[in-house]
Amino acid sequence: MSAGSSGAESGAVLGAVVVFLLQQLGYLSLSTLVPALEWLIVGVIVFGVFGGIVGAILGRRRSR
Amino acid sequence: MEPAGSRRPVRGIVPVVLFALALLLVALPAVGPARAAPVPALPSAPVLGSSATWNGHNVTAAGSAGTAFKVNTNERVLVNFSFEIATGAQITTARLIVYYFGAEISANSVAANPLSGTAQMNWTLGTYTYLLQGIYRLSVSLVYGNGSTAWSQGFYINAQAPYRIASGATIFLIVLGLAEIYWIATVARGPRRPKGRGTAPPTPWEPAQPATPPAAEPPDPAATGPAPEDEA
Repeated sequence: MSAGSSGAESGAVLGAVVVFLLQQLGYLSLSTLVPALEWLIVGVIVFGVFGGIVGAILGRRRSR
Repeated sequence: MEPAGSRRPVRGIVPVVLFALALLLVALPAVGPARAAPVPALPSAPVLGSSATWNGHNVTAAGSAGTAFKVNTNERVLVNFSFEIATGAQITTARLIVYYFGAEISANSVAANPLSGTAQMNWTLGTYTYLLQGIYRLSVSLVYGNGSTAWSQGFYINAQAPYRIASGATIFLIVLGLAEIYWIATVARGPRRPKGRGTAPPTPWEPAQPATPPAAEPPDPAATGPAPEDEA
């Protein structure tokens, strides 16, 4: 598994964690299905892409 | 092939799946009976007027997440229902339901007094007291004897655990988030040092060799003088 995909995987999980954590801390309401799923999908995608970029950068530094 | 340095002891998706399963298992007892209850066909009489209060405040005041009622997770809340209906109808039950991801995760019911037109409920988070916190949508409703809903009103609460993080789900999510950040950061670590370089760790059956200085070279005969047998 490449560093980029490994970072994307961790980032996607982190995105879901952040969404749930925002709800638990009272900044987000996940009671209604549709906006809750939207928040979850957006969080997973955004953090997954971000994690993939970070993982790829760190992996490239490692390979130098 | 996956570099040894980026290998993770636990896959990232596993804790999330476990978390979802735990939530589902906790929610099932509350959701099951409510969904299994049959709803017979309904007669009906108009409700002339109904209201509900949350610790004395009308629930319509918390109609959005921004105006949610703040409540401690271990707090007991008094919910008062009052209603007035046309002659012939009979409201028998007052109900309060908590929603999460659109599903009912908790449903509480009390018997209503049709004569006085009131009902009282002492509500708590119940099994979620030490598990959940945050913003949740609730609905209060009055139910006819045949199971159909006469009146319903939704509102929001903001349940806060002690110290804001002292709930099971919050602690789990913080730990999982830190673990994911750590796993992303460890991508920068290089692969493990290949065998043959450096000192290999001792095997369990082989005690570690103490650090000793390099073996002394044999003494130079010219510098130390003749050997003992030469003197003889």
